Formats: sequence, structure tokens, C-alpha cells
Amino acid sequence: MNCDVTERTILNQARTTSSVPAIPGGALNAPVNAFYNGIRNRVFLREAAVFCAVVLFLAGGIVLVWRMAYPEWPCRAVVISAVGLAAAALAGALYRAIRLTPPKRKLMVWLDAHSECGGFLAASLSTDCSAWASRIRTPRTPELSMQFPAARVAALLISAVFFAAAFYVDPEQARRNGPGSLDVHEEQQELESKLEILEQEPLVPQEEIAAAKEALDELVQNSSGTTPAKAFEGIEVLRDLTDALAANAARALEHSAENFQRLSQAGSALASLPPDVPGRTKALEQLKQLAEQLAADDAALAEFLKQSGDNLAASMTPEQLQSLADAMAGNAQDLRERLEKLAQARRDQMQGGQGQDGGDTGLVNDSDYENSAEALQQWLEENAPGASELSDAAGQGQGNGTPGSGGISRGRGDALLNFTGETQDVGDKRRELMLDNNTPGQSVSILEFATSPGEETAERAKAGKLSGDGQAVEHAETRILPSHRESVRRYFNNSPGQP
Amino acid sequence: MNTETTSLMPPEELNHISSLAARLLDELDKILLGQHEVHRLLLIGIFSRGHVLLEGLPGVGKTALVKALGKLMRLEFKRIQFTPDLLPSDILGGSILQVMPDGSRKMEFQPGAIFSNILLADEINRASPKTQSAMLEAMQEHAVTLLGETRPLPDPFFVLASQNPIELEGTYPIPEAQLDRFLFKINVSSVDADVLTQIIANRRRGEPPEPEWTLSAEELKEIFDAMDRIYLSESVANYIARIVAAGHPENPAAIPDVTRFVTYGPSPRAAIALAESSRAAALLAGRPAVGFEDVRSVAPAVLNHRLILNYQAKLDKITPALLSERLLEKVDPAGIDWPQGVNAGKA
Repeated sequence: MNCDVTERTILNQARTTSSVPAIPGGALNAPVNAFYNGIRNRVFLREAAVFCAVVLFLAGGIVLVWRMAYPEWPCRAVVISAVGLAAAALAGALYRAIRLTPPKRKLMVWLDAHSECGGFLAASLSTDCSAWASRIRTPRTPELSMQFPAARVAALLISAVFFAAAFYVDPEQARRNGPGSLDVHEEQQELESKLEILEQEPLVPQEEIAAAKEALDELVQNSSGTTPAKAFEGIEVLRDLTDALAANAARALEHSAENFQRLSQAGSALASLPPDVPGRTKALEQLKQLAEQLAADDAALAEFLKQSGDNLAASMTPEQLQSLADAMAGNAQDLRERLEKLAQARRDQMQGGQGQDGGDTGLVNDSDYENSAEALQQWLEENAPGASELSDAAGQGQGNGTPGSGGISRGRGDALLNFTGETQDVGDKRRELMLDNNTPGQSVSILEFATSPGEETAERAKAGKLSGDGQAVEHAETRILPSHRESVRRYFNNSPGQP
Repeated sequence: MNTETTSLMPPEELNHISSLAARLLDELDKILLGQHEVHRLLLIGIFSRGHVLLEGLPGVGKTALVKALGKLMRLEFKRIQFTPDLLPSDILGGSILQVMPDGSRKMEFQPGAIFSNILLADEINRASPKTQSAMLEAMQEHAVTLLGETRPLPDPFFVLASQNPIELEGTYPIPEAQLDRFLFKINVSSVDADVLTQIIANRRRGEPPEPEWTLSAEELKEIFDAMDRIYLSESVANYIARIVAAGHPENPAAIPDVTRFVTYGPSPRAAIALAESSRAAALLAGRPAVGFEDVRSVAPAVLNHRLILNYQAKLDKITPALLSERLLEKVDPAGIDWPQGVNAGKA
């Protein structure tokens, strides 16, 4: 015989089939069901990997879009959506697994063929085999193996990483970088810093700052609209508003500082005189009257006078008067420091509005002030030579029609306008001085004298000071904006190599 | 599928019949030693009412097998030694002018050797195609038509042909179309040394012993009747059909080896033969329904002469038996399209 070894093996197997042990027929369902479930579960795993990968990609995209659209994104809604998507994915995978899993009829046939059941299982699908139930062999559930494709695993991992990464994306940053959004972050920070500085200044109305902040928040939220020009317009309006607030506050501070300075200088001049000088009492009265006149439009000075009570009286000793003058000078210094803080917030206003700021402040009753100041000046000239600059100092608020003669920052409003940067008579030049390295807004205007400071005459140096004999350097300090003197001094002190 | 049978045979009835078949097989194994599978396939062929082509070297027991089968089944046995000058009339018979006792003359039909239950056509490939065709036609029709008169052949009628795979010079290989009329082509090989030792030691001049038991005609008829009641399920029928379809190179279901090495695949007659022989195998195994293992056990013998190989197969030494084995390996009995990546191991 030559039917091959394989054939013989098959034939021998077929011969042994007839002698299989008898089993109850009802036990057939268990191996078939186990076989079916094993295949379905493995197919489910394979399909679930694909479905989950797709769902994770979708969920990641939804989370991204959601977070971009709603900064305060509803976590619960997203979680519910994710759970719903996951359930849908698993349901889809189960549906696919059921579709792909061979039906139980075929699996029973397969078991019949591979378990050598003699055709009973296949026959039982279409005919009654009950008479042979005792001879039907229970098939064994075969071992199942599954190859999990690396591509599916990779897709699942990548999608999971994408989904997780979607939670770590900064929506604000993404929105700013988004094609439909307008980046006003820098402008917002600039305005916020200005408003913070202004908020610390008591002279600025807090309700205006609050309104400006509210407007700024609204503007930032609406900056992703389709009309970015409106956002920039709003920014400009807010910028002008903060600058105006800063300018007003700076003007008030500057006014108060100069009032304190004047009174301090006058007080110091009076304190330097002997107590028995004739007319001292009257001069003190005039000084008090002058202080009250100045305090009428100066809240800081009025507060100071209110706190000092009756200290400014005719019976004050020179020491008391000097102490009061020192306190006023200290107040002036404090006000200048506050003014310096405002410098950043108001720099644009300061640079563009110096001409407007000069001259008459409109804050003082000119006739009363002039009477008191002239009477005080006259008495001082008679009794304290060298202290005659009170009139010049007092005149800063009014000017004399000559630019520069009324103080570096306080030209008259009716002065002739020129754009050469030079004063008409001395040829001094005004230029921008950068306070730190090329930072816009960190600059002050100073005067450059046509002559060197060393060649300044004593007469020139006296200008703008109550007491003369000043040095050229001091004179230069007086010609610099009062609010920036400390900044200029600190700049030169910190940078000795700089001109 | 089984149109006649709606339920399985009762175990008691089948056990009786299958015990007859098993006894027949056992007796055959006793007479001829070491050829159990040949005996089994031969009995399956007989139970399937098919003709069997035995191919083997001289002296391996082909003639002795047929003789023993005839004795066991109490059937009329005749043998024809095919030669190139053998005429169809030598097989079929013919009318001979006879002188009657009264002196008259009459043409009287003298039946040929084919009028028997079992015919051994020895070295069938040595006869001329004309003679081969005459016999093969009678095999198919189970009748002989001479001079316009049709004479049926005895029932049962089996042809057990043999051919020698060597000394092919001067032979006439049987055409494939006529080979298809044989149910099986069984390769009869030589037995091993142990079996030869038994033959030499126990048998004088190698003569087989007389059978201790024979099968009666009634019992044979019972077996034939039982064959009709063996249940062939739709799943098994589908398995048979897919095996045959996979053997056709132009069929989409063909396995790669078939596409490469086969010129012509098995005919529908092969599917019928496979189903019938599977039934017989199930009966011989004592089962009322055809199992997949029955199909696998007879498929090589059925397909052996029905897979027409090309020259590429001959160059690569691919045999029909090898291709049959690959067909059985590749064709899934359940026809399941397994989900991708899922593999079922051995049950």
C-alpha cells in the first residue's frame, strides 16, 4: 500500500474515533460556548484597541477645542462626554467582535472536525442524534492565540498620549497664539502695571481705577473678536485714561511738593534769623497766611497743616520753625518719591504735555498769593539778604513770560512756541536722557547748557533758588524736572563712567 | 447532504451491519497479510459500488487480493490478462454460429469475462485503447450492448483493474477521462520484512489460507442498503465540495500548490465518489453519520488519479498524493473565515 504516512495516520485516527468514551449529549454546549466566547473576547480586544484609539483622538481633540473655547471648561461635562465616547467605542468594538466571530454552528463543525467527533456534532445541527447521544464525544476547547499587531498598539499609545497631552495645553497661551485671537498680552500687562502704580497713589480716585480695570478685563476678553482694530482702539483709550490719571496725580504731587519746598525754604530762611529781629512776627503771620493760601488748593499741604495744628504761629522759636521747615522738606521729599513712582505711568503724558503744564497752574488764588509772597519777600530782603529768591520761587507758578526763567518745567502758557529745542536767550538745549538701557519710556528731559557747568556765573546759578550762591551742578538740578531729579542723580551715581 | 435519511440509523441496526463489514475486513487481513489499508479501501470501494484501480509492482498480491475478496463475498470472479492483441469481444463476448442438435444453425451469444461479479483486469494498460474503451464503457453502464441488444451485467459488478508502473514500453496508458471512472486508485506497495517473515514461515508456497467465514449475498445487500442510510451532513458535504473546488487551478478557492502544479482538477464525479466512499468509511467505522475524518481517509485514493499534473510537477517530483495531502491541510473543514490575528490551536 502507498497511501502515504499522513494518510495512514489519518486513517488510524479515524479508526480510534469509534472507540471514544460515551458522554452525555447535553455537555456539548459548554465547549462550543467557551470556544465562541474565547474568540469573541480576543477579537473584541483587537477591535477595542482600534476603537479606543479613534475615540482617544476624538476626545483629545474635543478637550483641546473645549479648553480653547471655554477657559473655565466644564470638567464634569468633558468627563461625561469621555465616558460616553468610551462606552460607544466599547459597544462598537463588541459589535465588530460579534460580527467577526464565526457563528456557533461553524465552530461546532470545526470542533467536530478537529476533535474527531465522528461527524456527530455536524449531524446534530440538522438531524436528531439523540439515539447516539451516549457515543458523542465531548470536544475539547482548543487553545486560542492572538497576535496583537504592533501598529494597533502604537496607535493606541499615541492616541492615549495625545489625549493626556490635551489636558496639559495652556488654553490661554493657545488662544493667544491662535489665528483668530489678538495678542494684547503686552498691552494688558503694561496697563495693569500702570493701574497698580496708580492704585497705590492716594491722590488718584480709586473708583476711576476700578472702572479702568473693569474696562481692561472686558477688552481682553473680547480681544479674540473679528475686529482687532476696536481692541486696539480700546487699548489706546485705556492708555490715555491711565496717562491722564497719572498726569493729574503727578501734577497734584508736583504742586504739593513745590509748595512744601517753598514753605520749607521760607521757613528755613526765617529760622536762620535771630528771634529778636523786628517784624519777625509779622513775617511768620505772612508765612502762615501763605501756607493757608497754598493749602486751599493742595490737599496734601492742607492735611499737613491740619496735623501740625497751631505750630505755625508767631510765637515759634527759630528751632521750632526749623523743625517745621524740615518736616515740610521731608514731606516734599516723600511727595517726590511718590511722584517718581508715577513717572512710568505718566511718562508719555509728561513728555507730550510739558508745555501745557508750565505757567499758571490755576490752583492758587493769584492775587492773595502775590500779596503774601511780595510782603514776605520784601521783609526778607530787608532782614535776610540772599534770601530774596522767594519771589522767583513764588513766581514759578506764574512765570514772567520768558521761557526757562520760571523753572525748568514750568514755562508760561503764553510763551512763544519754538521747536528748535533751544531757549531763546541762553541757547540751552533740551534732550532726552535715557535712564536705563534703551527702554522706551524710561527717559527724562534735561537741559544741556551752552556753557560748561564750571563756567556758570553765580547770578545764573541763583536762578530758581531762594538762596543763591549755588553751584552750577545745583543749578542744573534745579533746571531738571523736579520729579526726575532723584532719578537723574541716581543714574549718574550708579554709572560714573556715563556723561 | 442526505435526501433520503432524516434521522440516524439506530445503533443496534448499524452495529450489526458494521460488524459484518468489520468481519469481512478482518478475514481479508487474515488471508493477505500486511495490507490492511489496501483491504479497507478496497472494501470501501466495494461498498460504494465503485471500481478500483490497483497499481503496484508484480507479485505484491493484487491478484490474490481479488481472489480472496471473491471467495469471501461468494461472488463470481473472473480474470482477464490484458494484452495488446486483446479484442473487445474477448471481454464483452459475442454471437457465435452454433449448430443445433436438429442440424439447424443459430447465432448464440457467448458472454465474455466481463459478465461476472468481480472482474480482475490484469495489466489493463497493456490492452489497446479500443479494448480499454469497450470495457470502461461497460463499467460505467453496467451493461453490454452487442448488435443492438443490451445485456445487463450481473449485480453487483466490480472491476478491480491493475497496472504495472514499470515496463511501460508498448503499453497504452489509460486516458484521464477513463481513469475518472474508477472510484479509487490504490497504490499497492510491498510489505515489510516482518510481514514477509510471517508469509514465508506460515504459508506453504505463499498460498493464502481458505477463508473461515464468508459474506452472504443477503448480508452484502444489507450493507448496500445501510450505505443509503448513512447520514451525510451539510457541513461534511460542503467540506467535500470545497476540497474538490480547491483542486481546480482556475478556481478562486484553489490552493497555491494546485495553481502551480495542476493542469486539470477533479471532476464532479470525484465529489460524488468522495461522498460515497466517505459513507462507506463511516459504515466501516460503525458510525451512522459521515465524519470529517472519513472524508480525509478516502480523499487521497479518490483524488490520486483525478489530479492531472503539469510538467512542472513532474520536474519538482510532486505527486498527486502529496497534493491531496496539501489540499486536506489547507481546506478548513468548517470553512471558517478566522478573524485576523486569531489562531485556534489543536482541540
